Amino acid sequence: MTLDDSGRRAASVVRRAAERIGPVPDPAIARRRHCRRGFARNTLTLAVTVLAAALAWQGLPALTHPSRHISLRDLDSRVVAAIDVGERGRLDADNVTPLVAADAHGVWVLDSSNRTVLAIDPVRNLVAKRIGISMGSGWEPKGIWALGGAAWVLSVNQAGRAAMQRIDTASGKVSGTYRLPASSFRSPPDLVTLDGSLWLSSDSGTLRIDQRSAHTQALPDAGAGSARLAVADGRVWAAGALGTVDGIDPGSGTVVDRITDARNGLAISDVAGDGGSLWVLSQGGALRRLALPSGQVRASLPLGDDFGTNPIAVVVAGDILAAIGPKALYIVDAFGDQVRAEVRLSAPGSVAVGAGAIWVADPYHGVLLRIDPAQ
Amino acid sequence: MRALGEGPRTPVDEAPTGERRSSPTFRLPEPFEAFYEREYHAVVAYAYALCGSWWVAEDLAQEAFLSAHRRWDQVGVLERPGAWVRRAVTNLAASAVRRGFSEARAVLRLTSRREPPEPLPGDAVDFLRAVRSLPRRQAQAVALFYLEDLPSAQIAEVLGCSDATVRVHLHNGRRALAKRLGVREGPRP
Repeated sequence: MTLDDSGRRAASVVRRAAERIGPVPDPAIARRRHCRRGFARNTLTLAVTVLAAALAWQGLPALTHPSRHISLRDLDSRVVAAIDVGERGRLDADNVTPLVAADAHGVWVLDSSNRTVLAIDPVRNLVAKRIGISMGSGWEPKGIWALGGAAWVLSVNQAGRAAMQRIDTASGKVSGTYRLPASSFRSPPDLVTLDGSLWLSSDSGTLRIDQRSAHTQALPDAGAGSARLAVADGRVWAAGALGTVDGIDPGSGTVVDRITDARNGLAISDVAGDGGSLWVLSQGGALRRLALPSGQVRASLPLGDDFGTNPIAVVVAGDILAAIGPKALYIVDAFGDQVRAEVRLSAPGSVAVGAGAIWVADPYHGVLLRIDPAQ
Repeated sequence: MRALGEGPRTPVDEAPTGERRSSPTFRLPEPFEAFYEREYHAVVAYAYALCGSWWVAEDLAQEAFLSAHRRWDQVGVLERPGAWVRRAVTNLAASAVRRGFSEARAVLRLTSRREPPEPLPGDAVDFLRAVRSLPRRQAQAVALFYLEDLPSAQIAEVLGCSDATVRVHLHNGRRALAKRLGVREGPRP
């Protein structure tokens, strides 16, 4: 049997079967069905058009502003740009801090849900590049920092393994990964760099990572409980929850100094290093500058007037110190020891100082706010 | 070889002097109902060859005929309105979205359905399944070749491509079918 024989037989069978499916349907019935379908189609088209117009009308203000969801008109005048950084108008910020990092070389935002880092163009105030940082299934990004001309991302997996990824500033690519021992980061970790090493705080103490050899050294006695870290006066300072700040000698990796907060043992919310000074932000919003190595208080600035809205994080770069709380950003002249401004914000997440500005990530609206500290 | 939907013969005017003078060709469309009645089952069979479901085939055929009906003043005067309807079926069957809607409508109408046709013999099922597994254009050309017994020129009219292209599709499609079904290809059409 040839193909043509098979084909002709199949065709004959199908034609007979088609004729046996029944009489030709009444064309009038088919026309009425088509009319009903056409009416339904037209109604659906009209409904979709009305809905699209309503959505466009609602979203029209977003077209005239940099951000889809927030209007600069509604923000403090010091906010000079609102850059869209989140999908569907938000950034996933569950247990991820910080979300934004900056230094003199650039600004980066961590989008943990999409496993990407957004490189921000600080001149044009837009997302210049999206850098994939996925380490595979089960790995979750925990924070991003800008240190030593690179951006660093900490990721943790479900088995407790941790890794630091280095993003090269120049190429915008992941240029290295440090695998770390199993660690717990129930509290947001912190990262600083000093003498060629990364210093990472975890629940069980501080972890030192030699950048050249990738060798890790656990320092359980220094800053346990995911302490806040800072570099000042040639040492790494780890502020614990009990109001004490441990000074770690970078050579030996041992705690060689301890400063105790004499203010009724209030917990320390954050610390920031500033050359020979250490800024300490205590619970309740008290910001103090301690001169090192003596630890003497050289300036005391109360920030905020409500215990629930006091700032909880502080960063300093050059003469700009920024302290962020759930309702406001405080701009402090780090040289003059004076509060320069209080900027009311609706949903700030984390703050960074660099590239000539203060950057505040607003995860609720999915935007990165640029604040001009000079205004 | 059956011709597709030939319309009425072209009328020829006779000049008062008795000389025959050909007038500009015009054609009166045949009544749509007559065309529809004549072509319906053949179009359903073609649609079935493309999609493999009688319910969807009828739905596609009816939609194609309705489109023709809406434009009957233009379609009816074509030399082969059946080719127009078959091209409409070809396009509808090729659109996965439209086919999905057709399947959904066919399922919804199942309760009012007539009895389904008896199953086809196994070799016919194998042949049609093999046709549907071909690349889309080859499947369409082969289905029209066997089901409608059309020459390549008329297949080209249905598919909206050149005669040479149809010949290529038929050559490649028949070779693939022969291999798939394990039969000799036979002489070239």
